[in-house]
Amino acid sequence: MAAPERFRVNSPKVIHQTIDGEVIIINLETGNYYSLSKSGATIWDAIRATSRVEDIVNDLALQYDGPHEQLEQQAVQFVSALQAEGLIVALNDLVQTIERSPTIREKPATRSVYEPPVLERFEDMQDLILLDPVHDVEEEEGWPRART
Amino acid sequence: MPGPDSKKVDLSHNFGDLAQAFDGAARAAGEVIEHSYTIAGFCLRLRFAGPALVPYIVPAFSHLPRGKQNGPALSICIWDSASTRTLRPAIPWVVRDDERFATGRTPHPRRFYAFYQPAQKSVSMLDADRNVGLYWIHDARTLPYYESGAPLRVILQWWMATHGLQLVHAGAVGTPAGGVLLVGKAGSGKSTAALACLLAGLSFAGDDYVLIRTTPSPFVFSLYNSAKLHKEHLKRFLDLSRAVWNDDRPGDEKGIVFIHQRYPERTPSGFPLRAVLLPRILDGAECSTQGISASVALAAMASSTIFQLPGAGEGALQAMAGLIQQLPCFVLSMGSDISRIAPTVSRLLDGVLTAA
Repeated sequence: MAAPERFRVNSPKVIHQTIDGEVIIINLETGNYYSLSKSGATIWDAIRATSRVEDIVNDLALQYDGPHEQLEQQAVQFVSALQAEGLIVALNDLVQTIERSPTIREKPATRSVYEPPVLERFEDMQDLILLDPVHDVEEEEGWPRART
Repeated sequence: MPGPDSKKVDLSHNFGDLAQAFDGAARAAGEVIEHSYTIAGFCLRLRFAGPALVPYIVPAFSHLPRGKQNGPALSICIWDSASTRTLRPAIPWVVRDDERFATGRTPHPRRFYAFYQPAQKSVSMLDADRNVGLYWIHDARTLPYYESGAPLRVILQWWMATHGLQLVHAGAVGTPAGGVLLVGKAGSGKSTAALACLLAGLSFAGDDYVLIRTTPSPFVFSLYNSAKLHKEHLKRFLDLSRAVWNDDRPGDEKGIVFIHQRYPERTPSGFPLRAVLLPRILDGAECSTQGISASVALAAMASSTIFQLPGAGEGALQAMAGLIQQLPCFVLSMGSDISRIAPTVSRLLDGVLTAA
């Protein structure tokens, strides 16, 4: 099976907000939260637009100076890291055929110096989740039965 | 997680059963005791079946103005089974004895909300359409001390969110002209900063949970006048250490002080917000502030709020981002000399107010 080309944010388990160009991402299941900036935030925005990896690399190239090969290699690695953390999931084959949403980031007048994307992870809330979790129950799924 | 044999949720049915259980408890108790307050312009009516829970719930709200009879109102029916000698209400979806369950965080329109805490043997429910909340606990005497410091917060959070207000894990101190929101996880120094400022004359809107409004301008509303601090740390605030509400309880409990009883003139219903502070305890004696990015402040505020409040999710994150975008954010580095905290906060507030 070919590697999935497009991804989406893993909502509702994952919520996120962009503030002053930086992205805060919270994984409600694990208790981990994350911060992205610069090229990492560009990649996140591109994923929100359900981009292919090649679209992500194009978005990076629009905004940052850097060798295309390096942008592509690091974008692929970064997408894998986001997926491994459960922050994004691959879209299914049917959705793969849809067109991407309009680019969220506008082309800047000048390009910035490229720095590799960094996924900063914070685990200090994990204890709260692991020691005394509150299980979310969605109405359509129903309440779990007692263990017997 | 729910399996293939999971029961479908019928919260309207459950809510009806629980409301009937309250009526039965009220009949058994022979009275319904009512207390009403105004929070953020809304009337909160507390209806107790008998007196058992009154001393555990009411003190935290005692600083708030009395509730007005007109306008939007939330009524919360409150009872326990032990004092009313009524049976534990039928809760068909209470299915595990060791884990907490709550209606999910998905931000779709919802009428019924529920939260079950097996360790406390308590249930919170809300019918948002009818503006009625239900709070049941098996035995009033087993209500944890921290629930008396911030009672009914889950129901208040659900209801206030449907009225454009967000309950956040934060403290707030200031003046009628403006104040600061103190954000961060437990143990970061929110209570220390809030109490130091209170004793220096600033107004106190809370040290753990407050209500925020983002439009038309940032504003904090006080929910509770309680302060909560390790009893060892409370000794540094001599005047307050003499007024600990739960002083007779085990030493590992934090001490709760109801500020309104000691300083009634310093517990306002709210004030405009001018800055967000992230307290941090450092070695040494100094106290200082330093600007930080909005994203750092949001990460601190959102993570501690969302993981503490069942049902808080995307909407809560948006509300907090909406607030932080409008305010300057700082780290408040606090050393061991707590007398330096209030002057530092006041200087920062003066500067922010002058700049505005």
